[in-house]
Amino acid sequence: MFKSVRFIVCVAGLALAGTAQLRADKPGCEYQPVDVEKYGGQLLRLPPEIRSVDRELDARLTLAYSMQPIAGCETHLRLYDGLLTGPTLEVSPGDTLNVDVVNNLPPDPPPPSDNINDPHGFNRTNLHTHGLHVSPAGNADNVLLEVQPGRRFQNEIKIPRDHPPGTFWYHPHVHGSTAIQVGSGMAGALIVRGGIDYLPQIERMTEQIFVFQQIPYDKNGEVEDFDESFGPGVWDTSHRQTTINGQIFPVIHMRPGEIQRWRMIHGGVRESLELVLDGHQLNEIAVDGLVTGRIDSWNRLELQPGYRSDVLIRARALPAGRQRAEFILYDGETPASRSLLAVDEDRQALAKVVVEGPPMSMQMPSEAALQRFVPFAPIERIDGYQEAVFNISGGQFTVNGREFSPDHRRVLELGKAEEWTLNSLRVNHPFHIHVNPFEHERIGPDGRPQRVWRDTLLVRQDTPIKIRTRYTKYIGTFVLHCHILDHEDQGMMELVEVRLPGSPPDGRHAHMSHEHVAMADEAGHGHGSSARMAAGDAEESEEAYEPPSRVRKSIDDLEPEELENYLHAVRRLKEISDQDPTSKDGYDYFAALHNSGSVGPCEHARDSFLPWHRAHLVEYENALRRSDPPRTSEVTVPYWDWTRIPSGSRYPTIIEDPNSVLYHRGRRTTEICRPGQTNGCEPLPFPWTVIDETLDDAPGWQGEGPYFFGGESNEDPVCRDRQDQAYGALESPSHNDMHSRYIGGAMRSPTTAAEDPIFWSFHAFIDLLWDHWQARSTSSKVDSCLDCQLCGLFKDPQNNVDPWTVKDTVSTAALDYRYEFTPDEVAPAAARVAAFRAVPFDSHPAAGMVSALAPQAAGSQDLLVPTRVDQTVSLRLSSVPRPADVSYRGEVYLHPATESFRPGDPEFRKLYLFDLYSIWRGHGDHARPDVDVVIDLTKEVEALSVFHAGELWKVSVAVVPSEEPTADGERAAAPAPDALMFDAARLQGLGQPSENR
Amino acid sequence: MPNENGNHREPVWELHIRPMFRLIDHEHMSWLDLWDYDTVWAKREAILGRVSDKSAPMPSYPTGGPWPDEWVSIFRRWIDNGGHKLDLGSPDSAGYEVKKTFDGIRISAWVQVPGEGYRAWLDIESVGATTRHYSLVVEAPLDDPGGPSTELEVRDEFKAGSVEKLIVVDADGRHELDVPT
Repeated sequence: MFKSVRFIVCVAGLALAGTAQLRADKPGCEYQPVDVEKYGGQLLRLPPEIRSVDRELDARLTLAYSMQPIAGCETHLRLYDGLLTGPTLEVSPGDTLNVDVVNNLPPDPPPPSDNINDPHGFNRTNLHTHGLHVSPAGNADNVLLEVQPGRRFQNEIKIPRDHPPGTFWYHPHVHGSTAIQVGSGMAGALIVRGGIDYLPQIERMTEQIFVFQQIPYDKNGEVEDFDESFGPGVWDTSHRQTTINGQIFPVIHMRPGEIQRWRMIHGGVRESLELVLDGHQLNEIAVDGLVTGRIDSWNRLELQPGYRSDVLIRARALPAGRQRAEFILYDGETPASRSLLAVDEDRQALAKVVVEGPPMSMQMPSEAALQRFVPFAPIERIDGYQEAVFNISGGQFTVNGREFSPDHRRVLELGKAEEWTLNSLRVNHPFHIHVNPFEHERIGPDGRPQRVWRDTLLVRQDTPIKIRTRYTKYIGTFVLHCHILDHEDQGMMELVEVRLPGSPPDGRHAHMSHEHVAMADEAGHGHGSSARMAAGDAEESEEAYEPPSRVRKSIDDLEPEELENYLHAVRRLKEISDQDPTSKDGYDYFAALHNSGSVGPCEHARDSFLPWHRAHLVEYENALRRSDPPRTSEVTVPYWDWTRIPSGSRYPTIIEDPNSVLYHRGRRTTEICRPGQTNGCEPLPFPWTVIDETLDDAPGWQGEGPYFFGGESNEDPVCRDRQDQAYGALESPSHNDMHSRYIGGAMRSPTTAAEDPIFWSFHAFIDLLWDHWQARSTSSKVDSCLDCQLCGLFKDPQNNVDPWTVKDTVSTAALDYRYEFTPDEVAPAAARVAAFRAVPFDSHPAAGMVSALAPQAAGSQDLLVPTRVDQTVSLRLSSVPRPADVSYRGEVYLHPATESFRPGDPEFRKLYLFDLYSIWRGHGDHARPDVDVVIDLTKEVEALSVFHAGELWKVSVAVVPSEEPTADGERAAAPAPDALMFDAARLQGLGQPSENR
Repeated sequence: MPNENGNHREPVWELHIRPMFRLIDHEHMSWLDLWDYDTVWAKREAILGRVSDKSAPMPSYPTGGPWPDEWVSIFRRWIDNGGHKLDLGSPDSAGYEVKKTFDGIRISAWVQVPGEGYRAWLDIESVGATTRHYSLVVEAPLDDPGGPSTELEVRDEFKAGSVEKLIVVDADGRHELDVPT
């Protein structure tokens, strides 16, 4: 057999390297039934746990050969930290997972062949966080990395703040060595704790972790020989026993009536588990870590390799007169049709539950309470279709007729939702895809169909199933594969790349057609012709594609020549205006487009805000480039990353240099605090932590309040009819506050802002953030007002024809530019309050910001802290004034009713200020005198409900007028605080709405 | 919403008091210049008595009728606060810039003010066919928050039209400025 030949070579190589000696069977390691009574019966031990501290989890996983006894056999295995099950890693959403993988294994022998689908290099490793929705790139969940023997590697995986809490796991994932390493026991639980875990009923429960493993050690106690370790007929004839956390047949103690939460993880390679707990139901609340919103009571629960299931077990009451009862957790009989071993599997006892002691009265959570932790909305709209068909044919393990190849990848587009058809042409295979979970319709225990989200799903032979998935947040390359890991190592895996919208179609990467799959199936080797056809497509499309030619960089990162050319171009535009103020090639024209109601004007407080400014920047950049070619032909607008400590005192150095053309009088000049500096400076108001959250928290484009990125639309295609609606999440507070309070001077007012050359770099960063949001959001495209014309902007401005519309601005790639940008390190969260339980939410970074004018109290609203939060909680401020002559900020506090509202007290601000809204003064014909503002309190109230349920707190609002007067010649009135008071405040989402004026 | 600390805007002569005296009032009270701050301040109690006297309403009904109570109240508050008025400011040494812009004419200047919270602007006194009159005014904050002196830009923009001259009165005197063509 082809495979056998390969493994003889492989084993010979190992022997030469001295890592596997040919010797007689080791006593105790014979292939014979395990004496469960003798080697089992110990209390279930949870793996050691490593938790995050201050948002960081720092762990080291050392991979080395270790001796560990299993059922009388002294095994010699590749293990993490010498443990049969790796330590449990526990994080919360928003944490960073820093895992230092230290590979202390010996060097590998040369690979057995040139075929990368020959299992090889068993001592190379890396780290995969199975099920996490995190970046697949760089040193995050990147399974294309290899940590060679003798090397170490620092993984840094950022868990987004909106990541669903749940039960996940980690294991190595280098192609060629995955099965050997995971099979040896290299796997551990990865718990993301949050949300559902703080439901009072669940918090009371004892939590158990079950990592099921099938370690196929041979008669020497080793897992070295691929063929002897895996493959049909191996496990079931070896009489090895499934272990739980490395233990044989452990014991779990429960009291009658007690409910425990069991987090069950199938960390094995190819055994199907069909779990049955005698006399009990397995009440499933989460599948693959993701909350279902239901309690599904199973008598028999299927766990395939890679699967997880969170179940609630209620111990039975003891019959009268009984002090103790025992129940066995079985892996039930599995018929060959469902088995991954393709044989009828016998029942195997896995663990024992002992019920004894005084009875307990515990409650299950309600399904209504669970429902709000369902992590994703159902996918109702499909943008396209994909197909993945597993097959074993001609000695090859294939996906869509193709063995794994680093030269082939399936290309998907970020933001799209697609329906996949999965099938197997030979035996059963668990399908697993990294990064993005998928939605699947299964039959529930009541016999009815139900939707669940998961990341691994058994595909049965000749039984096509459909799943739906969205490619959200992360671009990059990862894999899909069969989670029978020896199949994966032998080629049943495919690279998947998620690209930005607007990236080139790539024929080489396109998914295969039905015709192709059929051809591969019938011919066995028929993929060759299709491969050639696909390669031809690739050549054609690659010729047609050119990456964006314009690259916008940080103004601090420009090469000296690039900076000089940019400054020269700005000077040229100013000279043009000096010579002819009415020239549409001069600086004044582009400033007037923004500042003047009769030329533009700029658009704000509606969903054309971001499109308008994107088009404005493009036109300005075009003018810069044509101002003095060839010197200026390659100029782009550099951005100012105002989430970082500035290179100058308050602004980038070149922008605050009085001799620079980018300098403008009248800006605020107070220094921004450097690390460790607190006196005589202001803290950075919008560090990346805050902006990152803004990008995360606003999943939708069109609408009002913090959940929508673009703002509210009124769909008026004609500019003159358009009215201001409501700010999007980026416009307020960050954009507005930066204009009026951080920069000030001309930037304080929309009628003068673009006179200050900082305007362009400031808005380039706003544009970058929109681009960044598009790349990571589920709603990456503008979905409203697509045909709306952008006020005053024409692609042919000389003749005022060919108007810009919203749809022209949706893709930066289509506009031929991109940003070179790396987000700042996520800084430590704003100073956490010392007593977390006293105030269990973070204060806003601006809590430390000093204002020349004291905040004015604007009102308070009672908030009775609920025991649980079942829906979004928000504070809606109606008719928030937007005066024509002053910008101002609203500050929102959440504080105990026993504490008087003291917005001017620095200590009070540090503890209780949790959000802002910012109102930039009205401008132009569209300006409405007021807007509505919605503040999201859900996370804060959820946090409060854990420790403060039943207490009376208050939501209070203060307003802070901009320090400086308007300077544009309009009749200026002092900002009377009364004029900034909103009309009404309404708390929503807490049962009976209440109102306060 | 109630304003918990009761910090309201206080009336200022130029913005809130003088506009209450209409042209007809000014004409009828020719022996008393109601548009002159010093005169009104000197006669404040007498004026307050007349405008709040319900038995002999002033202004009289044939000339428009008496002030509403709110106006009387504002006048009284202005007196109680010490008769707040604006000051004239001065531009810095660069003086005034009158410039043609893409869509009009802009007059601007930079003014040094003593601290945070001060406001300055070019107040339009009158607009004629060929001339626009301004005062450069500065308003001190009610409660001076202190802080370092700072500079503010004052400006006005208008459509070019037939305007040829701008007249600005400031602390340094009267300035005539030509509008560029």
